[in-house]
Amino acid sequence: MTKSILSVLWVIVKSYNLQKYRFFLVLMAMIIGCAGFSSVLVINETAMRSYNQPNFPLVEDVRYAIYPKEGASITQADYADLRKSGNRNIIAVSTLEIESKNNKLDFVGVDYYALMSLDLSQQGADSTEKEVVLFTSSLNSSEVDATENKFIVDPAYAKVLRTQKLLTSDNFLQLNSQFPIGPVSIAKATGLGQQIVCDIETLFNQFTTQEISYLVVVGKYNDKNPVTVQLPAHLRLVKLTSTEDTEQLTASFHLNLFAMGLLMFVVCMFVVLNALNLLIIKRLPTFKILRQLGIPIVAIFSASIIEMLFLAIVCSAMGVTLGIEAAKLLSPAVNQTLESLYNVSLGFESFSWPSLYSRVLLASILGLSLAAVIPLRSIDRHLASIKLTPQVVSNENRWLAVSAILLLVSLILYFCYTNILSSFVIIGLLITSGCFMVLFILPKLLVLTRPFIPSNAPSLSWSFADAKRVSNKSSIALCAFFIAVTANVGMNLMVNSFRVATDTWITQRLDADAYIYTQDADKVSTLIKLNFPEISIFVRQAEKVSYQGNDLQIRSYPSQLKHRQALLLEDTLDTSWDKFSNGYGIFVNQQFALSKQLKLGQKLEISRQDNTQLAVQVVGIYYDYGNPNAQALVSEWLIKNPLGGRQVMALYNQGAHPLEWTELKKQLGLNMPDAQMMETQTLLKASMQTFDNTFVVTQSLNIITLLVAAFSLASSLIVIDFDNKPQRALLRAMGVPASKVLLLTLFQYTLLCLFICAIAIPFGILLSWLLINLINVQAFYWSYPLVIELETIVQLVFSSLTVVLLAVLLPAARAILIPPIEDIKWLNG
Amino acid sequence: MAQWLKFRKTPWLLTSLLSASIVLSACSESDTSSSSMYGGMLDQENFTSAKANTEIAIEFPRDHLSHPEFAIEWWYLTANLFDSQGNQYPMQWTLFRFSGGVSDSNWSNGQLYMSHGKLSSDKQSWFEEIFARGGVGNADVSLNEESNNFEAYLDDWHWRSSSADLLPASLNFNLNGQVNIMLNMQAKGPYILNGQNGYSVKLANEQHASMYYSQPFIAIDGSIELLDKTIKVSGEGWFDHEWSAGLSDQKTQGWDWFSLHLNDGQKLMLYQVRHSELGNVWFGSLISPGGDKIHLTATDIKGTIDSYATVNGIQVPLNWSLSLPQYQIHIRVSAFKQDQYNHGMFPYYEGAVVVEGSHQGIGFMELTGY
Amino acid sequence: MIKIEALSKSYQDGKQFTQVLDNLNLNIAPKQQIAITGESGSGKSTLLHLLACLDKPDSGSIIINGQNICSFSPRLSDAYRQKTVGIVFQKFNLIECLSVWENICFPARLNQNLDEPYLLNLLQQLGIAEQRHKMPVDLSGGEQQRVAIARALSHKPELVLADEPTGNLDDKNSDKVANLLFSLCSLHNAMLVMVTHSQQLAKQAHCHYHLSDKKLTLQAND
Repeated sequence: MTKSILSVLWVIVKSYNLQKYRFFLVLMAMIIGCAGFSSVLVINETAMRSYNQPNFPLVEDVRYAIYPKEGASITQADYADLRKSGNRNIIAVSTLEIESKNNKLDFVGVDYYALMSLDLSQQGADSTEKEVVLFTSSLNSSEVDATENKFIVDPAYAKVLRTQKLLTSDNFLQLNSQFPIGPVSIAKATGLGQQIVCDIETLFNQFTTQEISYLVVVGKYNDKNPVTVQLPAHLRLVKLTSTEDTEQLTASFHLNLFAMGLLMFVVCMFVVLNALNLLIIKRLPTFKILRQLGIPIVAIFSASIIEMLFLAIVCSAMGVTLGIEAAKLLSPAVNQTLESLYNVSLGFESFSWPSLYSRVLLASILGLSLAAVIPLRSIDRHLASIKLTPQVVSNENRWLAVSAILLLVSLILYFCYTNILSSFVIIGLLITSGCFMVLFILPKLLVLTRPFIPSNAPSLSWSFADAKRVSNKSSIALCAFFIAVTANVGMNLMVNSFRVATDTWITQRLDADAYIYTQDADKVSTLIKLNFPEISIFVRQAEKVSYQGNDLQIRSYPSQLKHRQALLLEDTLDTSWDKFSNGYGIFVNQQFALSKQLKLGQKLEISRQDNTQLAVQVVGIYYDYGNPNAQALVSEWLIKNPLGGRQVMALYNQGAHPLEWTELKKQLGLNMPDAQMMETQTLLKASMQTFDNTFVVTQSLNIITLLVAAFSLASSLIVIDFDNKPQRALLRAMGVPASKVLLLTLFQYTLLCLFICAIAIPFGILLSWLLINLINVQAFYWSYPLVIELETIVQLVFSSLTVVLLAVLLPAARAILIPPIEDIKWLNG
Repeated sequence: MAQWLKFRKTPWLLTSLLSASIVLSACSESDTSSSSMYGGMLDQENFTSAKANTEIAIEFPRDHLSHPEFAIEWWYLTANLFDSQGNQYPMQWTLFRFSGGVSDSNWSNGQLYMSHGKLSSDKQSWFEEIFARGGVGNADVSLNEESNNFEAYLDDWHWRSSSADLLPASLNFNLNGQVNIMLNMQAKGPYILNGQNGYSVKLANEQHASMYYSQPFIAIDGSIELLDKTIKVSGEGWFDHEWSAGLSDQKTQGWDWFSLHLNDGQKLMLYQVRHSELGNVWFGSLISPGGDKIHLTATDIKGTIDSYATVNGIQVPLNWSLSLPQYQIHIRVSAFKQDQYNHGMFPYYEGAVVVEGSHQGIGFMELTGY
Repeated sequence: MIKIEALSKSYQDGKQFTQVLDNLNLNIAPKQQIAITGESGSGKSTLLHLLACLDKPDSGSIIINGQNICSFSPRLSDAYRQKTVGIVFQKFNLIECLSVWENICFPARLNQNLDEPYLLNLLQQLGIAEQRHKMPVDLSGGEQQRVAIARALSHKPELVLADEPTGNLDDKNSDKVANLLFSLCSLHNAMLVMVTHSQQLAKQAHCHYHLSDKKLTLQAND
């Protein structure tokens, strides 16, 4: 048997010689497929890592900070007093922005002595020990004599500084006309981003700053385990943003990336499958001859598997290497976005090669298994003839049947199981079903549209007919392309819907002109009434209650018409607002409704803190995107203990003219330092900016997927083109000019691409619907309405078409430029 | 691995933070001989530091306070505390001061503080070290601005006297967020000036010396709060205050230091410096129950190691035979329990001992450079 | 010695059922060369494929060296084709990525009985020794068929099966190739079963059978 396997392998290797170009294309397709998948994985993982990274240099678990109130400052005495009263987890930080050579440099001075005093054994030794180790080893990894090192800079940022000529080759900072300062230790350390970190004393002595900017509070604090520190009146505790505030957006983004990764996995698998399939199909006659010569089928099978495994191993390795490079090249923008979004410094260096490789290899091996099984099975049929038995026509109906069955199974799953895994299975089934649908519908579409071709355009007619042949031969590549377009449509619609929904929601919910958060609403109202009579105020009350043992926040909500319109409702009873203002009705947010499976009209018993019950009816469910908690709205008079705790005050400008909000802000800062005022416009802008920044990454991932699939399609078309030579030769022999043949070829591809898009669009819409209403709901208990914008879809179709045409233009033109005699020789041969 | 990194790497981290002003040649060596005393911080004299000399007359309460013109200084309290059942809780509190030599810093006054706190029981031990810079406001040894009473503190570890004198005083500190130690201390005897009126020679070639006094007669009572219970304790304490330009040179291999409370009321301080060129040399003080001191030199003291034990992979002599033949003292000193290592940036052995032989007693032993 | 007994074979193509061979009997003596002629679709190629163990009959047996090859497992069928049979196809079926020499050596190498002087001699007799480093595509049809004959004989099989060996050749080449096939088979003591529709070619064989109406009839050689 070994002898036979070796003989087959020998023949296979010999055959490369004869099919150099085809072999090269197949290899390229595989490598690019793998590279695409791995670059998606790299960007994915980098993005995921970026928001898992701590947001403060050198220490993990910084979630709170102490800031001075407006007009006040933190003195050394404040800091010393806090530490002397036992808060050894409070660390002084001084930040300084220096502009040098048109670049802004952020210096962060940290009290290293306080850092060293952080207790290693408290709060679970694991994390804190790691902190200190990270901190110390980061200092150690520098090769420069450490006693002299004054600053620490992340290697990725050091590169940037060097290109800006701010960091000299001997690791000194060259700022403006000053003497160089340093030296700088270039080292990886936890949370080290685009800052220059040093001891606070260094910062105080090196620059003129004499101010403590803020104090960080180190520890695993959260809402359940809050910071308990007695602060003097002029300081305030601030929960740092970019941790929980963006958490929901981040989680949804994470899910998006995960889905993208899965789709890319499938696309990569298909690309490999397609490439190998093209390789094997060409070999089938040889394999038949080998069978006639007495080589067992097992030997041919084994040899093919060995070859493909080898190719998969090599191509995956090359693909991963290329993919990492591509990610580096493609994503400075992505990187920058992530860096500014999460304030961390990212590099791709620390990516785990083996884990990446294993995933890419898995996709390739799955692809090759399919590639081996499908065509090799046909070798044993009709051994006597080396002609490949043509596919029986009834197969097309079989595709429809498979597609329908898969669709049915996914429907059954949809109604029977509701968990996140089954949702992904449903999506997988749906996409596979779509692939079979492509196989079924595409030839039908071609046949159906053919009568519309005018009979006086014979070459066009030929092109149409030939498109069917091409589609048959490149069905796998078309499937890969179909998946890519579907994914693109799905993802884009989902992100777009999310964006529209968020925008509408924020704009509607934030119906006031500005908001003030304060502990003392009375004082603030008095101040406003006195100085700004044109502002009307509505105080939003809140109360902590529980429902079925789980925490619930109830908030007051006004029931005037304008506020009614501001509430974006998913579903509501007819008489909801009457019941609401009478105190019988309650609006619940979607999160609460879905997690407790509340229905409209359902009666709830809510337990209050004074052990009384509040009986209300669910009269509406409102959208509350991004809110991780259960919440409900009631009429104001239902809230007990009004004005207790921190209030939200909504301010409405009732005057005829636009108001100078800054004036109010200034007055508030002077008189009510604890009050925080935010203008709605600023809030809106900031929110949408965060949103767009977050999802810019998905865009680039989409493009990679599309590119890979298009390349796969192009490569298979080129390979098919070899078999097309006699056909083309015939046309040329009949006097059709080369340019016309090129146009006809491009026409074919445009036709195929448009048809694929036509099939992919409904599947893409379905995909986005599933992502929103299945995956998102199961992951976060909230959903949003699907918005189908024609513009987005048209844009997508155009970009897909452009990508495909660009990909095939070169090889098609190349084929045309061959002198006609070459083709005609083929005809005679 | 994490542990290894932590301890092996940190010494020069601190040295790096001490900045260029302290000329510490030891920073590179500390990796190879990480167990040398205080990471080698005390190895070499600081040029700008004042030096201990025989001209200096120690005066109280003035000299309880800080001597910032000297490079190194410490206030060192060890105590053998017992609960009502007779279980021992050895305790250590130390405040170190190093002169950073930076006089024009906008952040600090150039003084660097490090404090070590430790409590053991027969089963457990808690140790923590904290750092701060002088001038910021969270570390100092001074007279309180309002009350004019003596105080020494770093963050919330606080020694507060009720007068300008060192004692009587209270000492509060907590360890690892798990133990709260609250002690009241009374002096039951006079201060003892070690060496010649407090001038204590540290190397046989008299190149290094310190100003050094002790208070070996301290009665302590107080309580130890653990997470689940509070334990009333009482016992005897020993306080040392020492300041110098430097205690050792690079050829100093380490030292062995004993502070012993003997049953007959005598107090015994013994101190051996191990030096690669000058050999091992003993010094000490024998203090009568009334507070009369006899200065002991190498000829008076015979010390031998009975056995070593391996603690955390390091061989340390935990059983000693110490003799002062002239004074009929022949005692065996052994560790209260084996692992009493302080795993801080500069690891060293500091632990309670039991005295047997011609005299019974308790006390403390410090072993460095192993 | 080949003994074909009661051999029947039919095909089903869609709903159409075609009986190709019906209860066919034939004996072939050692070293005997037989030719089978017949109309297109008469089943002569089918008979050849059954003899090559490329296909299985509906019933009946083909006994070669005392073994019924029709009951062979796939593994035995492969081994039988590898060792016992050499096949010459109408369309040559050369492995296009291998050179002439590599194509010829292939069966011999598989059987581990590569005899280079013998093969060189064979090539010389076939007149393609000069061409042995060329690729199949660079050869003319006649040359390719000679390579196919050489490959069929390279591992010294007991039985050579030829399916329209001259079907793709012009008259001149056709004669040459046929003559070579007959003489080489007798030289190497191989039985030959040749399927052809050329009466002239058939007459050169020891026995000439005509297949029509699912039956074989012996034709008298003039």
